Amino acid sequence: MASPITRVARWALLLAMLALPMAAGAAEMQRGGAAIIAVSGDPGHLNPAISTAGPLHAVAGSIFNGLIALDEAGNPVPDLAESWEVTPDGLRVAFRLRPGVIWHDGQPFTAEDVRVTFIEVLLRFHARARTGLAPAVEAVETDGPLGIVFRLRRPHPALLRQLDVTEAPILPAHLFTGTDPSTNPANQRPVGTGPFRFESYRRDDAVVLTRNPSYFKPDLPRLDRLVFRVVPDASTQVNALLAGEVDMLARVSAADADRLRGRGMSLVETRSAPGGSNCIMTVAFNLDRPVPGQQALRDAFALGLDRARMLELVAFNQGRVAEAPIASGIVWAHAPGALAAWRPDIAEANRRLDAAGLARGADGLRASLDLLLFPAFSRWAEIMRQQLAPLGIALRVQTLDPAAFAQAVFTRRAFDLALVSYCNGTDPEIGVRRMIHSSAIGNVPFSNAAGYRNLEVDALFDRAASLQDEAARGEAYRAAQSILARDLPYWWLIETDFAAAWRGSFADFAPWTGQVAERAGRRD
Amino acid sequence: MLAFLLRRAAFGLLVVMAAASLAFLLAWHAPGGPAVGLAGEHGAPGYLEEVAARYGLDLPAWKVWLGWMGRLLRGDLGTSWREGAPVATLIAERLPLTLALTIAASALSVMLGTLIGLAASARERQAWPAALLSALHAVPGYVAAQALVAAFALGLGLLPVQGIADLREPAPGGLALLAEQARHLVLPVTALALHQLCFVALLVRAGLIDQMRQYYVTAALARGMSRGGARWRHALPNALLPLAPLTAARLGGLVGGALVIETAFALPGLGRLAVTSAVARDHPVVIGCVVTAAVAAWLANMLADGVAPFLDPRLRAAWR
Repeated sequence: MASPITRVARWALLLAMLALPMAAGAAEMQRGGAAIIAVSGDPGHLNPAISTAGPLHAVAGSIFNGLIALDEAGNPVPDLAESWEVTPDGLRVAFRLRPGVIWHDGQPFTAEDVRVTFIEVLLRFHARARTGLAPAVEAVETDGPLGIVFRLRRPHPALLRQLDVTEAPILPAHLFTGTDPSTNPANQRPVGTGPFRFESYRRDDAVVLTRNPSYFKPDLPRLDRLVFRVVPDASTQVNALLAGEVDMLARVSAADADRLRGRGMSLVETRSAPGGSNCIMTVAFNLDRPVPGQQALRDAFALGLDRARMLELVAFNQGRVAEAPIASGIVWAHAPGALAAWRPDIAEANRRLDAAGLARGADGLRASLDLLLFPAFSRWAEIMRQQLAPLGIALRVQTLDPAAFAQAVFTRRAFDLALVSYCNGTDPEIGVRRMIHSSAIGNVPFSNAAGYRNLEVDALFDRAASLQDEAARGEAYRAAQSILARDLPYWWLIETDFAAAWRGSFADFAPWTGQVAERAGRRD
Repeated sequence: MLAFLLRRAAFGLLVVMAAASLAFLLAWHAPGGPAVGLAGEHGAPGYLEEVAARYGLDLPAWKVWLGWMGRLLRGDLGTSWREGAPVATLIAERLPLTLALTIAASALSVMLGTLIGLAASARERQAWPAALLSALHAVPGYVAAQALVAAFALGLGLLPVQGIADLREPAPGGLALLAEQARHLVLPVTALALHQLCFVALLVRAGLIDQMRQYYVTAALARGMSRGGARWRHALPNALLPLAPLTAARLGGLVGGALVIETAFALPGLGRLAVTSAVARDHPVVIGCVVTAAVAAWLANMLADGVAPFLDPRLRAAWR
C-alpha cells in the first residue's frame, strides 16, 4: 500500500500531466479561422493615404504597410523599410526597402511606389502629412529599386514617427501614378502589401479581408479571414461581443470596459490607437473672450476641479491625471510634476476670483460660461458643472457634432470654453505644436483653440523642432511646459487611455497600431 | 379615374420637390461643412476653404438650390461628397433592406394588430387590454429593441443580437441566405412594429366596440347570428375602413423608426445612410434620402387611395 505522501505525489504528477498540454496549448497559437472586429464608424472608402478619418484607418491598416511600424511604446521598428540612416546634419534620411515584397495583385513593390505615394498623394491629400511633413520635406527620391531618400529643408526629428501605416501608408504606383487619388477606383477595391487582402465591402455593414498568403513577414498573418463589422451603437457592440457574434471591440468606452470585466474577455488599455495616441482631455479657454481671458479665472479652474475624482467617476480609472501639458507617454519630452503646484483648493480659488474683481452677483454667480463639446463627452461636462458650482461659475453646456463643433470653435470662435481631446501623438511636433504655437491659430479644425500667443513658447517649440538630439529637444519642451503651466491657456484634465476588448479565445491583437490583427490568432 | 390619378401624381411631384427644398434649406444652414467629416480631426490650413470651393458651398444658396432642383427634375440625385459614388447607387444599395423592414413591420402590425384588437374588443368591459396596449404603444423603439435583445438574444440565445448575416463564414447562397437574413430580421421587425401594432390594435378595438352598438349589428343578432359571427362578418369590415389610409399616412413614421432600429441592430439600411451622411455633412446624400422617403410616402398614400374603393363601396362613386 502506498504511503499518503506517495499518493499525493502521484496525484500531483497526474495533475501536472493533465495541465502541461493545456499550458502548451495556451501558449501555442492556432493557424486559420476568422476574427470579427466591431468598429463604430463606416470607412466610406479604403484609401488611407487621402484621409485621416478614424473609421477608415481602423480597417485599412490591415491592408497596407508603412515604411516603418511603431511598437507599443511608440518606437520605430522595420516594416516595408529594413533599415534607415540619418545624416549627422539631419537633412538626409535614407531607407533600404525590404526585397521581394509583392502587391496583392502580384506586382513587385519598389522604391517608385514609395516616391509616388509621398509626392502625388500623401503630402497633398493626407491632412497630417500635409501639415506635419510637407513643410519639412524638400524631395523624396529613389536610389535604385530598393532605396528611398528623404531630403529635408530643416532637420525634422519627428519624421520616423510619421511613417507608419496610419501616418503614411504606401500605395501601389502602378494604380495611382498620374490619377486623381480622390476618385481612383482602387479606393473601393484596395491593393496593398499588408497582411490581409481585400475581399468585399458593403457600406455600413462590413469589410471582409482574407489572409495574404505571400505576406513578407514569415508565418504571418495567422488568421484566414478578418471581418470589420460596422456596429454604430456602443451597447449593441458589447451585446454582440457577449453573444459571441463579434470577437473584438476595437474601441471600448470606460463604462463598457467596466461592464465586460470578469466575463472571459481580454481587456487591454493602451495609450495609442490608429490615428491618435497620448490623448489628454483638455479644457480650452478662449483667450479672446473677456472672462476666460482672465488669469484668475483659469487659475480657479486649476484649483477648483478635482481631477482625481474625474479619473475615477468619468474615466473609470482608465488613464492618469495629467501631470504636464505634454503627455507622460512621450517620456523624453514630458515634464513630470509641471502641474504639481495646482492642487484642489476651493478657498484659494475663490480668493483669487475675489481679488480679480470677479464678484458674485445676487444669485451667487460670478460668471456663466459656454462649454462646447462632443456628445460623447457629456459626462465630463456634468462633473465639471458640479465641481465649479462652489466657485460661483455656471456652465452652459452645448453638445455639438464634430462638424458643428469645429465651425463654432475654430471658424467662428464663438465659445468661452471648449472640451477637446488633444492627442499628442508620438512626438510633440505631431500633436502638441498645433494647440500651442501662435502660427496654428486660425481656421483649421483642432488647432490652437485657446488662441494662445506667447513668443517665448513659440521659440522653444521651434527650437525643439529643429534639433536632432532627443535630450536637447526634451529640455526645450520642458522649459515651454513650465511657462504653459503658469499661463494656463488650457487646463489639462486626464490622460485618457484607449481600451480594446476581445474574447479570451483569441490572442495577440495589437490595438495600439493600425495593423491590429497582423499577429492575432485563435487560442482554442 | 385617369384624371384623378394624374392629379394625384402631379401633386405628389410637388410634395417631393417641396420636401427636397426643405431638406436643402436645413442642410445649407446646418453648422459646419463637410471638411471635418472628410479629413477627420486634422485639417491643413486652407483646407476648409478648399473643400467649400470644391463642392460649391461658396456660391449663393439660390444658385446651388436651382442647380440641385434642375438635376432632381432630370432624375439625377448627384454624387456623394464623402464617398464619390452616385447618390442613386448608395440609396439603391440600402433601399431593399429598409423596404423589407418597413413592409414586414407594416404587415405584422396590421395582421397581428387586427387579431389583438378583435380579441380585446370581446373583453369590452375590462380595462386592462386597452391599458396594456396604450402602455406598449408608448415604448420608444430603442427601448423595445434593447428589451427584445436582452430577452431573446442574450437571455434565451434564440436570435442574433445584430446584423443581417453571420460573417464568420463566406455567405451561403439561395434559400439558406434568405433564411439566415430572415432570422436576423425577426427582432428588428418586431421592435419596429410594436408601436404601430399597438396603434392598430387600439384602433380596431375601439372601432369594433363602436360598430357592435350599431343597429345593423343589433339586426344581425336579432336574426339569430352569434355575437362572434356578427363581429367577424359585419362589424370588422367597417372597423377596418380607417386602417388603410392611416397605415399609409404613418409610413413616414415607420421610416423614421427604421432609422433608430437600423442603428440599434447595426443594419445597413437607408436610415443609417441618412444619419451618417448628416453627421458628415454629405448634403447630396441627405437630400437623396429625404427625396426617397417622400416618394415612398407618396406611393403609399396613392396605394391607400387605390385600395380604399375596394374596401368601401361608397368611395367608388368618387372615381367615376
